[in-house]
Amino acid sequence: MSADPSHASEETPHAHDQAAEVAHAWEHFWENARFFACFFSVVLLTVIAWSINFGPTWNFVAVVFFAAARSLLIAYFMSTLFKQFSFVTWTFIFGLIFLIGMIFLSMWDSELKHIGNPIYNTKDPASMKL
Amino acid sequence: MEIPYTLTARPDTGLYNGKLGIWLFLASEVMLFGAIFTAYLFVRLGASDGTWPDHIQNVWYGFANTCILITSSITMVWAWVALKERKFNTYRLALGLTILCGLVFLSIKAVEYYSKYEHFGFFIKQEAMDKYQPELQKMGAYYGAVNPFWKGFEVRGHLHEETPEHFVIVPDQSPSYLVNFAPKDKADSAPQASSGGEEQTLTIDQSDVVRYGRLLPKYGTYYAIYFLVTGLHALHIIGGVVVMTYFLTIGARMYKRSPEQLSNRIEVTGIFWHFVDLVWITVFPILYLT
Repeated sequence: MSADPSHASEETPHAHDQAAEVAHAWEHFWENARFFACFFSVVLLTVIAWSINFGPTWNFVAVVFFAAARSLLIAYFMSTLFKQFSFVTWTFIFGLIFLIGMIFLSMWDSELKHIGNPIYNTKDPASMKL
Repeated sequence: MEIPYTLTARPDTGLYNGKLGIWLFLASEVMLFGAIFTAYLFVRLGASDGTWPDHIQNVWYGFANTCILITSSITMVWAWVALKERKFNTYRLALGLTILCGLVFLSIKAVEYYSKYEHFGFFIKQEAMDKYQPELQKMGAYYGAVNPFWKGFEVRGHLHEETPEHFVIVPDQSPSYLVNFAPKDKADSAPQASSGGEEQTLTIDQSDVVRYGRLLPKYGTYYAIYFLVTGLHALHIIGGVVVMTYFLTIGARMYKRSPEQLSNRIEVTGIFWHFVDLVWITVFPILYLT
């Protein structure tokens, strides 16, 4: 249908390589198993750490540390899902960026303490009353 | 007419039809859960100090469910691998295990919901605090900070008896850490429960109660969010279990006609199942580890 040979090649379906697909499927399986082993350990440690009172400062450090560990593992898991699908990956990455942006802008434009109401005059609250 | 790209990937997207469809569906799901998590964030940040419940979920139930869902993700991929290798019996075993994990997850969730249904919360007038506080402290029972909106403080527990004049309840114990490494002067000074064997009851006058109810969505914002998020997630689990049951029974007939197409369908179901898993491991720390 197309005079452009490169376009014509794009319309040719990929050859089906069963052995490669089986190998890919096993690879995905072991990635899942590794994720399970790591995530199980991290969640178990998180729950144990949650049951211990280290004091205000170290409680905060523990929460941040385990939240970061979980986030990294989830990022790893997502990468195992997306690594071959750049079209979808980029859609999701941009979706996430926009979501974070939307959350930030909504909070910025809200009445929330410390974050929202950027034009509020904290030095002279009376001046803000209508 | 044969529909193109049901078996092989479309060259420009690198995806076959089913996979493109599931990613688009999951994009809409991300927006749905993203909106709910955002709403949670606002409600949580906007709550007055000391009024948001903490240490009220059974963390071990949540932990068990986390492990079950992660395990089910592995068995789901195992089912897909088995189909790729054309091992039909292994496929049925792996998919059956995944369905079982889903059902165990839902059963644990049902136990959790029932415990919420059994529990009652009472908002007692602020001015009556002096009347009940000494006894609550003596019992090592939980009581919340004064809520500025309701002008009252909260006590939770099992309702033992209700008369027109009063409630008799078995109050919940104060949440406490299993181990306390914090310096003594900085550690939480929550009173410890007495080690008596008998259930200790507290009698609350009806006239002192601002409002009371079961720990269901209408009880408070936290419970509304809890039931909304976990309920919506549970609906996804139910949906996944229904689809997998179909592929284990009626849908499995496709194996004889086109094993590769069945394998693609299982892969797509697996992607959905991974998503449900990821949502849960986001829900767990937000709602349980607070």
